[in-house]
Amino acid sequence: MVMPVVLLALVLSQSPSAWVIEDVPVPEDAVLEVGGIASIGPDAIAVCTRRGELWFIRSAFGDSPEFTLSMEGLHEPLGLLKVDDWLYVAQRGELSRMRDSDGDDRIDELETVCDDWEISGNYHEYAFGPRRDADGDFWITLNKPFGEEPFGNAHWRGWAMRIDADGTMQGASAGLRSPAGIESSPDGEIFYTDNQGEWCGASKLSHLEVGDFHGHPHGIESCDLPASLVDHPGQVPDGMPMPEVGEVIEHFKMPAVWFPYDKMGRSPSGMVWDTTGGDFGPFAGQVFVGDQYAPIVMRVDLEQIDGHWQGACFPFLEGFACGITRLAWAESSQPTLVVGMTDRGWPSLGTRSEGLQQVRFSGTDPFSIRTMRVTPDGFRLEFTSAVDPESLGSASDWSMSSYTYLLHSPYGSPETDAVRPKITELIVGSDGMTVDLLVDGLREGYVHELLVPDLTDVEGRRLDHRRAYYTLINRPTAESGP
Amino acid sequence: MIRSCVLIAPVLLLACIGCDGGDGETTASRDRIGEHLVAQSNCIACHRASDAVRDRIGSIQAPLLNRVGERLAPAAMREFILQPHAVRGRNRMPNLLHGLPDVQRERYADDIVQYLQTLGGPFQAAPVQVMPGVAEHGRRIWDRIGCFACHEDMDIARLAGQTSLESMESFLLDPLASHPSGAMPSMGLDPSEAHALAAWLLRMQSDADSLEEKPGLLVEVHSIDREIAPGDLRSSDPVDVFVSPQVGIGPMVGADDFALKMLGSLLVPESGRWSFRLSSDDGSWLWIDGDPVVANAGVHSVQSRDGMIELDKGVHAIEVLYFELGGGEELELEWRGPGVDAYLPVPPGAFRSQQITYIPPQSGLAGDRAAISRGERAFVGLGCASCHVPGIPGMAAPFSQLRSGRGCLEPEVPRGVPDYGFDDAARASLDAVFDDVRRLESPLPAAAAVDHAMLGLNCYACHVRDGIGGPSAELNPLFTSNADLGDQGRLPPNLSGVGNKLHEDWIDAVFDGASVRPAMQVRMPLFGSAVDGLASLLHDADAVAGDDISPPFSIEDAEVGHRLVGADGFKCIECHSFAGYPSLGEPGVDLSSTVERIRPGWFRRYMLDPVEISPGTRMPSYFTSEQPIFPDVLEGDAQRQIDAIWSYLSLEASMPLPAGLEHAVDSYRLSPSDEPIVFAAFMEGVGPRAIAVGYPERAHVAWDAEHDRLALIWRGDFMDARGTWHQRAGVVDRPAGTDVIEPPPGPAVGVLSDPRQAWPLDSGMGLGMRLDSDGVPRFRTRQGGLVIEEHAVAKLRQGGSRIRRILQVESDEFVPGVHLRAAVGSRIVEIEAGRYSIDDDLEIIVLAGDGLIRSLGSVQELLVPIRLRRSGPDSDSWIGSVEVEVAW
Repeated sequence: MVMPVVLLALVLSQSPSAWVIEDVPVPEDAVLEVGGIASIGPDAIAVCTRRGELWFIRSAFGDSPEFTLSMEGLHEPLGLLKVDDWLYVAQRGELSRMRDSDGDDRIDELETVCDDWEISGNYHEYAFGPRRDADGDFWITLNKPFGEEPFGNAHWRGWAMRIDADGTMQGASAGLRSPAGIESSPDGEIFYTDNQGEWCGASKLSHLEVGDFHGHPHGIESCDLPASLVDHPGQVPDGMPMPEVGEVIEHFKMPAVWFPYDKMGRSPSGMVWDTTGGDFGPFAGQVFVGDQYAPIVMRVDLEQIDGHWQGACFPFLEGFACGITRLAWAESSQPTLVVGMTDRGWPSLGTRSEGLQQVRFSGTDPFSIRTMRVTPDGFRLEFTSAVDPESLGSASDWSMSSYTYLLHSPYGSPETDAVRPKITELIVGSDGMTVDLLVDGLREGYVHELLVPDLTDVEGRRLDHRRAYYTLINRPTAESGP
Repeated sequence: MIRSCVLIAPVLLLACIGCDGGDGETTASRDRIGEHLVAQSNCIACHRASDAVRDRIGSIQAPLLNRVGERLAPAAMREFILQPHAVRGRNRMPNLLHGLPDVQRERYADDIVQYLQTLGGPFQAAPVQVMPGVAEHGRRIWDRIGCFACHEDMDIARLAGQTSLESMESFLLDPLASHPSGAMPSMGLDPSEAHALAAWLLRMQSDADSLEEKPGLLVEVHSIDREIAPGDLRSSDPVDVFVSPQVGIGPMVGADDFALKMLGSLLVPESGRWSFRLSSDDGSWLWIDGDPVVANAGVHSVQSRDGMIELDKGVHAIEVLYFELGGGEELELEWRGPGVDAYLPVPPGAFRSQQITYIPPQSGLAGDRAAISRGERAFVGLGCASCHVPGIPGMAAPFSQLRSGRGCLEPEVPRGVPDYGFDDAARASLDAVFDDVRRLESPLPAAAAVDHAMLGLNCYACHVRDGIGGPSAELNPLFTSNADLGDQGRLPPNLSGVGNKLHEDWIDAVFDGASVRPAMQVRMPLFGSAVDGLASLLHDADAVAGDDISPPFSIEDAEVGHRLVGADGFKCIECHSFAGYPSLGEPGVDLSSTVERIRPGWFRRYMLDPVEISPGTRMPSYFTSEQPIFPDVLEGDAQRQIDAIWSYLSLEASMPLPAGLEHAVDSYRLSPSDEPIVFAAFMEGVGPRAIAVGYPERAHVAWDAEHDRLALIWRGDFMDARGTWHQRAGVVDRPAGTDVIEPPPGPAVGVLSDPRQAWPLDSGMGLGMRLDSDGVPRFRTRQGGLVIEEHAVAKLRQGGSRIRRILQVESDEFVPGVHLRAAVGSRIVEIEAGRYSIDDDLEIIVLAGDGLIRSLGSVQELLVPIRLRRSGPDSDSWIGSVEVEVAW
């Protein structure tokens, strides 16, 4: 097990106070190891737990929320989705939907939607989801086993499955390792987070599309089954730099964003798009991603270049009580981000072992890098308020490094082939909100890690986070945009 | 083991009789002692006796010598044959060579040893290394389990010359294999206990040079390629060995794919309760004196696990196992205990790594053929074989012709006659028997036969019965307990009237190792076949007519009894455990087995006045005062209240737990109290998609969601969720209870178009479940054109709750031939209308519908037809239903 002693303190020491984190008090005898959260009405959420319970929580964000144990006996449910009056849930062995038909907050019926995938009885065979794509089909992601398989090998482990409304299942994407988060974008595109380990050199956020192979060879034998929509990738190269894999495996999917180990958490999990239109702060349209090891929420800004989603990740919020599994929006008088936590089996930083917290925006924007986008010659940073030109310094005060990872069988990959691209020029926008960086030596397939100087804005506030990590997969030409 | 030859020396025997309470009176007459000596001297091995005499005296098998050459050193055998009476204690091997010239005696002895060496020998043993602290651990076992009760005066110097450590271990693990008489019974040791005890017994073999103290721990490095568990390295050879000053990674920092086995001793500075914290990346385990203390298993980043153990001041054997696959590595052991207020790393000064060398007795050599052949003839001719080899007939005068004062009983035993070394008192007792040997043709009365058996097995060393026996004043304080239960928690129970107190079957169960006294440290030995028939004799001697009659059972009474034992009643839960759930206070007897163990008449008398029956008991007297404690319960009638408790106890494994006990239950144990519990897990016998449903009536089921069928039914405890909820979990779970049964394989409901058609085994399609108002799931399955909904409820019944299976079938069209397959067996019998016995193991009661038994080859099936009817007068849908109760 890899467990370096590096802490996150350096990058996270300047957390903004623009958001307020509060507990959701939990009854003393409840063990809320959160696996899924769904909004079920004003100030009301449903939460499923790793112990197989489903709780309805009403008046969830006040001092005394009302908890009702709606059901128990679900098998490690790790995702909830509300569709009409049904709650969909991914259990280890099946996608189910359940509902309370008489309004007592207790589930009366549970229907099996699909149970066509297999489990071998290994603890690591988690199922996550579901989420719905633009066509209304359900997607779930299936962890690969880790160790003994007491009931025999199972197909479809390490896959993303697509299930239509009739329960017909197809294997949509292969090569996943520990896909602990799955979410649909506002356009109905499906994304997932994966955890660093063997055949997954660094934790990542990736776009899931039919036919993709994401690198882990565990489940590739299932490619030969009739329900597979993925071509068999053949022998997966062991020890190849990631940018070269696409030359060997045509349908190999590069990530949208890598989360460099220990710089941006260790184990990304649940995520949400900021769909609040700015009511939750200045990051509308971006993605918030929790981390199961570090009690933090990270931030991702995505753009589509030549058909590939890619972008930058930034530190965002720290100071939660426990490693985070799930994020969800609640319906409340003001936008409320519900944060579900558990550290079971995966020791996390923080002071608690499980529970729920809530985050609200104070109304005052922090001074942050809002976006980092790629240009044909470098990157454009956009800030949340106008930069004080005095604090910019010269191009040599800004630094960048770039590196990539190996696709290989050992646990995690070092940052490889690292160089320091030269920032040659800074061009400040006329309103002070943007800075264009001209960079020598952009490389496709590499993380571009940026360290900016100690900037202040025109009101004299210091920049909250000075680092950003852009995963450059496609470099735009002058014609292609952005 | 020569040490534990069967015979009991009369001196010791007389010493142990009448030492109870020092009143000096004994009911064991001289006759009884005489007969005891006849049995122990094995007279009837040489002097053929009638079956009646054999039954009365009991035939005793002397130690089997078929592997003796392997386990005993030749020098020790020789000395023993020449001077059997030099062995102290209870050995009664006769001297067969007395009166011969020395040269001849020694030649006989040498020849017999040569012969015996061919039986599995010659004895070969090499010096072995024993970790420090092991022998000390052995001493503690000796004291704890009560070896001292029989072995007061162990001649350890002689012992050290007899055998090897390895042979001693195998002997201790299964003494009955070579000594079937039970004179040295099995103490139920596990291999690590046997190793420690052997190291203690043979401590005189320690090489003095090896005793010099060396600091640190001995570390074996093993190469591994996967996650390991304890025991995995048993057959692995270390790739390296070094000494580490303390528990840690040491020179292996930075390496991957290795395991460390750290061995040595731990010096505990003060007696008391010690906590250990083991932190590691990846997995690790800690044992002290062979007991598991901390398990920090699995592949993980640095994590800590704690464990606690009571340790005496002094040296203890310690073992740490650790493994590391990839990435970083870390290992640390901390402790906290008397004088160490907060967790601190166990310091290097606390470890010792010297291994003690045990030098075994000299090995034997293969003898020459002529000597072996002479030895074999002597072994038979002198009469050794008559006792030691089963089936060799005695060659001396028939038993019925024996007279007092002759032969073996002469003060100067003639040459050629076995010399037992009897003293005057023993001879007098034996002479009394042989004055009228015909008396032995009639059977002993039951009480006397029990006494005879208890003398023979030395039960009196620990137990009192009818004023006889019990530990001496010197030994009494050595019996210890880890609970404050007075003598009841410390001394083996008084056996007066035990044949009336306990059911015969339970006494046999105790002989087979059953125990209900968790606080008792001393162990009840296992005597094997030597106690066959003793339970029946106890019953004949003690049973009071009518005490086997139970009060009438009723559910209402059981409910009253349930209240009376709980926190709002007599608070039995303060001292008594129930169904494995520990009491709130001291660890008294678990009451869930009461009805299985105790005869109802005795129970009633004991409850009415416990002190009368068991003086000094900690059991409160609830019914001896004039005012009832609960005047409003059953009109305050003591008899009825006691009977109500009996009714409750007769629910046995499925008794609902008393109020007030649950809070003591650890957090992973699932105990349905007022509502059912539904719990999903990987389960053995079910599959990776098990949904277990537990009922407060303490009968439970598990559903296989993969094959959509009821897969298991059981009673007692429901589930322990630790394997599923603790850390990474993923353990394949089992029912926590007992009496697990499996319904027939395949789907429960099927369509038979022809009565000879084999049962269709294809699984249905899971549709999910409905949850009723109690939260009980009703599992729904599509089976062809049928939709089947099945659920179970538990029903309280005397002797254990039953499970009722309720199935409903829906269809869009009429389907003929729908059946429930309720049971499969090799012999199904309808006992009474609607009630079927399946292989005498369980019963099925068909509550709605008519059962039918069909035979397919050697298999029988119990089917219940399900007739579909329209769900309403104008309805297009068809329904049917069936209910069966499973009793087992």
